Amino acid sequence: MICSMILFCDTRRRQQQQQQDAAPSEPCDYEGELREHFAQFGHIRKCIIPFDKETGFHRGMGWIQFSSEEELQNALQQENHIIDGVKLHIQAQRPKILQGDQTSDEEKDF
Amino acid sequence: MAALLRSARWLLRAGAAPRLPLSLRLLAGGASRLHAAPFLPAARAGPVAGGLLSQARLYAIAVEKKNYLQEEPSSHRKNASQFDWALMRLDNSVRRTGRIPKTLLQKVFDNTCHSGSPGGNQALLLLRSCGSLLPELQLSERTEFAHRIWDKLQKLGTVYDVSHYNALLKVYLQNEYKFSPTDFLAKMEEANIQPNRVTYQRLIAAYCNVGDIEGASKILGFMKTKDLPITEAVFSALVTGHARAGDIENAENILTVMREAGIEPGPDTYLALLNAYAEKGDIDHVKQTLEKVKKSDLYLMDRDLLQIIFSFSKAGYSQYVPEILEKITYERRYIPDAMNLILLLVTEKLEDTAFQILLACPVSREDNLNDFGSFFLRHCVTMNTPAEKLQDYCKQLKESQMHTSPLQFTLHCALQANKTDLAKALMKALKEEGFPVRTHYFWPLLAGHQKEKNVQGIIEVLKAMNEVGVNPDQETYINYVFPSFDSVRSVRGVLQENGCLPENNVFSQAEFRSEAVTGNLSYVLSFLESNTLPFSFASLRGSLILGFRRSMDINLWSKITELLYKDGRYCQEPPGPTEAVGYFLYNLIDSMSDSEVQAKEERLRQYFHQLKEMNVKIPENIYRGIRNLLDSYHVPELIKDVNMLVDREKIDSRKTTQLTSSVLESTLEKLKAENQPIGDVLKQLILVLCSEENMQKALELKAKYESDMVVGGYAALINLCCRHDNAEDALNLKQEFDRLDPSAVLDTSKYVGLVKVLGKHGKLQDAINILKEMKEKDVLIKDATVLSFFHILNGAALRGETETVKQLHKAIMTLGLAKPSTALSSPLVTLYLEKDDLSAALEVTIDCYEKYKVLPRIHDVLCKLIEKGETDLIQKAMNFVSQEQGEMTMLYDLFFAFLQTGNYKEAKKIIETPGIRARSSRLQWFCDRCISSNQVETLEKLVELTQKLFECDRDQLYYSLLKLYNAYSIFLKAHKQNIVLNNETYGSLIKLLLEKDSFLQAMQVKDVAETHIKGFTLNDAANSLLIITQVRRDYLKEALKTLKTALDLEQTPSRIAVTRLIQACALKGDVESIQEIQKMVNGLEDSIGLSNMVFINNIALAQIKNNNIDVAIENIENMLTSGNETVKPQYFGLTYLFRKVIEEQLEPAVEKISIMAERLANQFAVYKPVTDLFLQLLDSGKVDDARALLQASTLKSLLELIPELIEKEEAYTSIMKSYVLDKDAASAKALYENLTARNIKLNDLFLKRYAVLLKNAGEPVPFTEPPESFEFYAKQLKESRGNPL
Repeated sequence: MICSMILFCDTRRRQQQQQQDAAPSEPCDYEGELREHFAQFGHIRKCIIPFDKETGFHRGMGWIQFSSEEELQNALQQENHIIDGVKLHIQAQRPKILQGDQTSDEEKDF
Repeated sequence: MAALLRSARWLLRAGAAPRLPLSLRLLAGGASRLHAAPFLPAARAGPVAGGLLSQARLYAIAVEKKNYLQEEPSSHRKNASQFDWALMRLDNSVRRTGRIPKTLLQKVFDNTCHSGSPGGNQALLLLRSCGSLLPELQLSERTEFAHRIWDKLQKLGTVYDVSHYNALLKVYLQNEYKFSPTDFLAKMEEANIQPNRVTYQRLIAAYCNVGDIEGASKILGFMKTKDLPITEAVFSALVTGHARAGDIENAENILTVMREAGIEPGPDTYLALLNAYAEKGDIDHVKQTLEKVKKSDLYLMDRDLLQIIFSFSKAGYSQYVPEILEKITYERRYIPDAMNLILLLVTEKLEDTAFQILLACPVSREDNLNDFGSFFLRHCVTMNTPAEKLQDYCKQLKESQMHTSPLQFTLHCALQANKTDLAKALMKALKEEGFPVRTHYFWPLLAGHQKEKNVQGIIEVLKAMNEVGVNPDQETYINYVFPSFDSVRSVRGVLQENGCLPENNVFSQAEFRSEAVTGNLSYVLSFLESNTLPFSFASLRGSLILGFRRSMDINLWSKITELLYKDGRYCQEPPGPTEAVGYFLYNLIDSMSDSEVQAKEERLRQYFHQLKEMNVKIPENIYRGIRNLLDSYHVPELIKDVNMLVDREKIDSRKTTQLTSSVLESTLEKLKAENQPIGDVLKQLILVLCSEENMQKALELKAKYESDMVVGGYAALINLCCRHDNAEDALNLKQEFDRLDPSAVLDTSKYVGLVKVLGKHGKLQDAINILKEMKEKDVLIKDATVLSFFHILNGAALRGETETVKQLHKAIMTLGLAKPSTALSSPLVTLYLEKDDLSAALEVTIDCYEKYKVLPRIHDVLCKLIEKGETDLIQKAMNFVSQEQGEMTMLYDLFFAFLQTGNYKEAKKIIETPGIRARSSRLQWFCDRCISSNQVETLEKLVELTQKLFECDRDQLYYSLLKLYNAYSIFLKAHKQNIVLNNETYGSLIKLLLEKDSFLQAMQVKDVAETHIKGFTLNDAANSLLIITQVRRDYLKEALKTLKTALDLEQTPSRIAVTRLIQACALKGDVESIQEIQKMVNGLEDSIGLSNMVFINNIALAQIKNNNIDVAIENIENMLTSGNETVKPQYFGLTYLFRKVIEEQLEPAVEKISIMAERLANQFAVYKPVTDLFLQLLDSGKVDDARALLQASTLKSLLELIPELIEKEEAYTSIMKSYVLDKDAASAKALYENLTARNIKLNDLFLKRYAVLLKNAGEPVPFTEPPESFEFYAKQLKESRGNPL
C-alpha cells in the first residue's frame, strides 16, 4: 500500500475495458490482502488495483466489487479500513447518472 | 561611529518621520528585518496576508498603473493576467505551507519566460521568491537560482530598476551570500541605476552580517551626504554588526544611541539583540531581554521567537530550544511559519531541532484524520537523513498520534527518490513492527533501473528483496526484470550466477507467460512438454489465449490443446479436461472481436477439425455458450464445426428429460410400422438432429419420410443447411417448402441465412429471388436485418466477389428492402479498396452519390489516395465533393484524411483556411472514430489544430479527449507535476467526473482549478450537473451557491437542475431558499422552462413541512380566489404537492388540503385541485379517502368537468350510492345506461343498489337482481380490491 489510496466500491460489473491486450495478471500479494480484508463484509467479486508500470506505484485508486448492496453497505459503514498500516479511503461508486436533460415523472407533473 | 549616528539626529528631526508609515514601508519592499534573516519571509504584515507576497501585490498595483501608459493595452492585459496567475500560485503555496517548492518556482519562471517579454513586476516577484521562501534549498542553491532568473530575464529584455537591485540584495541577505557591497554599487552605477535609501540600508546590513562595522560606517557616510533618513532598520543592523564583530557591549549600546537620536527601539531592534545573544548561546540574556520586551508595550510575534530558535540551533546551542518553544503562543499563522523553519533546519542538517519543533506543533491528534509531519519526513529523505534517525522520528510521530503511518510514508518518499538503501532499511523496520513487506514496494526501484536497462541495479534490488524475505512475483519478472535484458532467455543464467534465482516455479511461470504473450508458441509447446513443475491450467489460460491470438500456427494451437487435454500434468483434476479445455475455447473466442473471428474463420475451422481428429471433447453447455458468441459475431458458419466437439455421452447421461435422437428414431419406426401418423415425432426428431448439428442424418430422414414432412421441419432443416454452408440442399429444401405451402413464410433470419449462403455459392439469381420473396411476403425488416445485409455484402466484398456485391446490393435497393445508406453502400467501395484499385474505388463512391446521395468510405478513399500520393485523384475527389456538398465539406474531408494519415502540417493548413467554421457534427464524428479505434495521438492533434477554429466547441473536443484518456489519472499526473491545465480542460474533466458520479474527484479538480486559474468558471452544462450532484448528496447550500454563480455568469442552468434544487429545499422546509431561487431566476423562467407552479407547489410543501399548514393553504386559496390570478385555475396543478404530502404521510396536511379542495370546488367552482387530489389519492391506493372526497357533494360538477371519471369503479360505485341515498332513480338510470353504453362491466354491489332503488321506485329491473345481501357484495368488493390478482 505504502501511500494512501481511494478505493471505489460497487456491486456492478465495471464496464469491460477495450480489448485487453496486456498480459492478464496474477493478483499480487497485496491485492490478496485487500480481498481478505474486505471479505469480512461479504463476497468479493472483483478487486482491481491498477499500477502504473512506468513508475511502479499504484495509481492512488482501486476498485472493489461486492456481490450485493448489503455487503457494500457493511463495508461503507465501518469507519476505518487500515491495510498494512495505512488508512484506506473508501467510497461508493454510484451508477452513472442521467445524461442530459432526461425528464422523469417527477419533473413532469406540475 | 557614535558621532556619525548622533549627527543623524537633525536629519530625523528635520524631515522624515522616525518610522515610515506601514504602507510606504511595504511599497519600498519591506524596510524591516534587514539583518541576518536567513528565514521567515516578511514584514509584520504577515498575519494579514501572505508575507512577502502581499508586498509584492501592493507593489504590483503601483507598477501596473505605470505600465498601463507605456504598453499596448492588449499585451498589458496578457501580462497582467500572467502576473496574477503567477502571484496567485506562489501566494497560495506560501499561505498553506509557508514555502514555495522549487518545482513550483521553476514552473512559474518557465511560464514567465515563455510568455515572451516578462514585465518588471513579474521579475520582481520571481526574484523575491528566491530567499527564505525556499527553505528546502541550500542557501547557495537559492542564490544560484536568483542569479539564473536575473540573467535569463535580462536576456529576454526585462528592464531592471532600483527595486530589482534591492530585491536581489535582500535575497543575498536572506541567503547569507558573501558579496562585495562596493562591487554591487559599482554594478548599479554601470547600469545607470541610482541606489536609494533601501539599497543603502541593505548594504549596511550586508556589512553588519559579517561583522564589518567599518564597511557599514562607510555606507552610513554615503547616506549622510545624501541626506537620507536613518531608520530603525539601520540601527537594528548595527546591533547585529557589533555583535558579530564580537563586541556585544557596543551592540547593547546601540539602543541607547537610538534613544538619543529620538528613535525608540522597536521589536526589530530587540530581535536583533536577541539573535545576537542567541548566537553566543547566552540564554540568560535572552530570557532577560524577552522579559523586558514583555513588560514594555512592544510585542514579539511567534515568528520572531522561531528566529531566535534558529539562531540558537545554528550556533550549536540547541539545548536552549525547549525554553524558547515554551514561550510560543501559537498564533493563527504559526503553522506555515513553523513549517518553513522546520524545513530550513533540516536543510541545515539540524533535523533534531526541527523535529522538536514539529512535535510541539499544535495539531489535532484525536481525529486521526490528518497526518501531520509528512513534509518533514519527505524533506529528511531528500536531505539524506540517516535511516536510524528517520526510524526514530517515525516511531515518535506515531506514538504521539501525529501521523498514522509515518514509516510507510517515509518509505514512499524513499522509493520516489529512488533511495534503495534507505528504502531497504525502512522495509526492514516495517517488518520488525509487524507489517508485511509487499512485493510491489520494490517496483518503483525496479522501474528506475528498468528504464535504463541497468541489469546490475536490477540484480541489487532482487538481492535486497531476498534479504527482506520477499519473493518476486510474476509481475515483477515480466514488467521489470525481463524488459531490462535484451532477451528473456538470458535472464535465467544471469540470475543464477548472482544467486537470485528463486527455487519456486514463479520464475518459470513468468518466463512462460512472457514468451506466450509474444506468440512464441513453439516455446510454449516445448515448455509444456518438458515441464516438471506443478502448474494449474487456470494460471496458464490467460497467457495462452494471448499467445494463440498472436500466432496463427494452427498446428501448434492444436498440439498445445491436445497436450493440455491429454497430459497427466495439466487438466486431469476435477472438473477434468473436457470442462477445462471447453472453457478455454470459450474464453479464446470471447477474447476475440467479431472482426477478428470473421477474419480467422477458416483457421478456426481447421483448428476445430484438428481437435476433433485428436478426439478432444467439450461439454454441451459450453458449446452453447460458444454458439451464442459465434452468432453474435455473425459467423454462424463456425457453429457446426464447434458442435462436432460436443461430448455426446455426457449429454445422454445428463439429460434424461429430453428425448434423444435414437429414442425418437425408434419411436418413429414403431409408429410407421403401426401405420400411425408420424408428423409430430418426425418434426421433433428433425429438430433434435438440427440442434445436434447432424445435417447428414437429418437430410436422410427427410428423404425417407418426405411425405410426412411439415413446414416447421423444413424451416429448421433449411436453417441447418445454411449454417453448414450447404447451398445446394438449402435451395432444394426451400423449393420443397414452397411446394408444401406456397403461402408459408420463414423467419427473417432464415431468409437472410439463405441469401447469405446462396450468394456465397454464386447462386446469385436464387439469392435475388429470395430477396424478392421477402419483399412479396412482406417479411419484417428490422435494424438487425439491415445489419445482416451489410455483413453479407461486406463478407462478399472482402472475398472479392464483385458480381455478388453489386447484384445483391442493387436488388436490395431496387426492392426497397432497405433505405440507401452509407453503410450498405460501403462494400461496393471496399471491393476496390481491398484490391488497391483506388481510381475505381473513387469512381464507385462518386457513382453511389449520384445514385443514392451517399458517399461511402470517402474518408478511407481519401486516406489511401493521400498515402499513395495520387494527386490527380485527390483533386478529382475534392472537385466532386466541393461541387456536390460544398467547399466546407470538402475541406473537412481533406482535413480528417490528413489527420488520419499523420500529415499534420497539411491538416493544419486546411483547418486554417480563412472562413472555415466549426462543424460540430463532423468534428464529433471524427472524435468518436478516434475514441473507438483508440487513436490518442490523432485526437490530440485534432484538439491542438482546432484551437483557433471559429465557433469551435472546445469543450466538446476536450471532453472527447478526456474520454479517451483515463481522465482522472491524467489530472493527477498533471497536478503532481504542477502542470496547469486551462479552464476548458478543467471544466470538461469536472463534467466527465460528475457524469461518472465521482463527486469527490470532481471537487478535487475544481479546487485545483480554482487555485490555478483566477476566475475559474464552469459552463452551463457542467454547473447544472454540479447542482444536481450536490442536491443528490444533500449539499443544498453549495448547490444554491453554484446556482448563484451560474446565474451571475449569465448562464442558463437546466430546468432539471433548478427543479431538483427547489424540490430538495422544499422537503427540508427551507422556504427562504426557494424564495431566494425565485428571485434569482426572476425573468429567466421561460428560458429555463420553469413553470410558476414549481414555486407554488414547493413553497407550500416547505411551509407544510414547517407545520405552517394554514399559511400554505391560505396562500393557495388566495391565489385561486383573489381574482388576479397569476396562473389560470385550469393550469393550477397541485399534483406534486398532493403527491408529496401523501407520500410523506403528512396526515393533518392531507386532511386540511382535502377540505381546501372541497371548499374551492363548492364555493368557488374551482375544480382542478379537487380532481388532482382525487386522482392522487387513487394513485396512492387511498381509495376510501378518494371516495369520501367524491361523496362530498362535488360529484355532479366533477362529472360535468371530466366525464371519463365515471369509468373509474370507485367513482361510479360512490355515485350510485349517493343516488340511492337521494332516491334519485332517474339519475341512476341515466348513469346505468351511460355505463352499459360504454361497455363497462359493473360490479354486483352497484347492480344490487340499482336494483333495490328501482324496486323501491316501483320500476322494473332490467337484469337479474344479485341474490345476496349488500354486506355480502360490499365485502366481496373489498376483498377483490385487497387482492388485485
